[in-house]
Amino acid sequence: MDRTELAQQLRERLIHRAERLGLRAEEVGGSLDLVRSGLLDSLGFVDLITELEQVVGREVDLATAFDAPGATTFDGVLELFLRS
Amino acid sequence: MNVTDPIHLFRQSAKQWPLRAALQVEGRTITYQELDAWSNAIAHRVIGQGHAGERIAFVARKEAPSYAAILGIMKAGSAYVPLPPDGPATRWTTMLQRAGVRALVGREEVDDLDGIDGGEQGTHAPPDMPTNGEAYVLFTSGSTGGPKGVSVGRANVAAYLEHQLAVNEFHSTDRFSQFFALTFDLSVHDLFVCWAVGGCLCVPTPSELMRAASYAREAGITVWFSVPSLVVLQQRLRTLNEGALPDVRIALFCGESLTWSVLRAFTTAAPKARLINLYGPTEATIAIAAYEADRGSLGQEGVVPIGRTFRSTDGRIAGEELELCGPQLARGYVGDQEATDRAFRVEQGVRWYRTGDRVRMDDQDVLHFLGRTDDQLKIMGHRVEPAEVDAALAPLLGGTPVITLPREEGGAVRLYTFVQGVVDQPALMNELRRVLPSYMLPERILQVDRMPMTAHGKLDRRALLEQVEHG
Repeated sequence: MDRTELAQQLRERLIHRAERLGLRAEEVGGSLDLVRSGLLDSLGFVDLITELEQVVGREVDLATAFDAPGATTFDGVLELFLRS
Repeated sequence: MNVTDPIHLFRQSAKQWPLRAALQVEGRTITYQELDAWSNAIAHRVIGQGHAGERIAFVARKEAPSYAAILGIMKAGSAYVPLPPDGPATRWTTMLQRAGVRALVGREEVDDLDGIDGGEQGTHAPPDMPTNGEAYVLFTSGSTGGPKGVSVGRANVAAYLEHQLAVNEFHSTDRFSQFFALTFDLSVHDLFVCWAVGGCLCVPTPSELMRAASYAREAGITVWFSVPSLVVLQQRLRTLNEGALPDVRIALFCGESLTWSVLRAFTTAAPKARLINLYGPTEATIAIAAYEADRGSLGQEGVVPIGRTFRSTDGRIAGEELELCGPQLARGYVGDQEATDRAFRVEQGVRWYRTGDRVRMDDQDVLHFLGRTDDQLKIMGHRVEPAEVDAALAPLLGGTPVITLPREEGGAVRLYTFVQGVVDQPALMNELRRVLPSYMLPERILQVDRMPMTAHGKLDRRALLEQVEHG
């Protein structure tokens, strides 16, 4: 799965909740921090990653999922999958 | 050990082990001598500017200056008021007003006093301050709108420490986790139990906190203290593997219900650890009851008991509600005498605190937590009054009926807000984001034609929550 497809999968999982939080669809992406923005709590964030693992068909290194700068941002999630 | 004051304990350790590590934070190690000198300088600044004995706020980032500030403020005989780093700013304003705060300790100012050597604001200790003063004001969610501040005295903290140091063998070689936010009273345990015994306080970065188990292993943590949710998070991160925490010898849990299954998972990772479940509301200073689980009982299901109250404390059960008295009872709620009088009542010269927690006592005199007498709940250890969400929306809704309810989903509690009639949901959510911390934001705001009622004329909560499933 390439970056565009992965971004699409991620956006689909966030968009409804984002809209309910008053965020515009175009704001869901890039440097938006999924945890700090209140979109997800830490458990919700990990659940999102495991859900994406199933979609992508491989596991990522969850132990280091939070280590990279901006790890909990939209782009950070993409990077986590693209580098694993 | 007769504990008179948390600052005395820190000073004793600084005198006994000046060159030992007191704090490891942001990749930096700070010795007792350095932390003592730094906090002395802060105390002199506070006293010099005429704020001794007042309430002093700071933004409670888990960075070195915050730890020095807590000590410095208390050394000046003042009480600290930690502000949540993520705000929101409107909540800070409410907190500052309610606590009557006139002074803030800023990070830059504290940084300037780091490593200061002698002189007018030198490293010599400020004079001892009265031990009957206030230690801190911590804010929790309030059911009548806005956060409410609990005023806790230094003597309250001393009573807690006296118990912990008497019943647990903490050592100067121990490395203590500092997982709790500084706005949580459980962080007071982290700091002052550690510094009382000359241990090293290990502070993870936010990302290290998320992967607390691997951080604990890397940092050589020997005393683990967390909410059970943090253990659940580690399970989901697949880091709580067999033997993953070989150095942990004491594990304490508090802040929300601990299940046997979570405890089993933790034990697999930390096979040497004593396992202690603590219980206590902020109003009774950190924790006031404890249950130590023996490994033979780990096969059970359900919730781990909250144990017996500490020796200095008396507990009684009125109906099903636990009431407490003793030296750990806080002073009350700042700026809210009515709420204080409701929660803390004097009977025949004895002051009792109504916890709002429903409990039962078994034939071994062990307390079991059953739930709440009201709607208060815990989200990742945060105390949340759903009515505070409703109160935050009230100005926008006029008299429109609104209610926020909790719903358990996949092991986590989430909030749903129901509003009668047609509303602008994004606008309401924006308002909530402006005034509430993120953990209090509802998952969704749902519109209902009218609030459903039961045959007894009460709000039908079940019917409302069913609407979540039906979209």
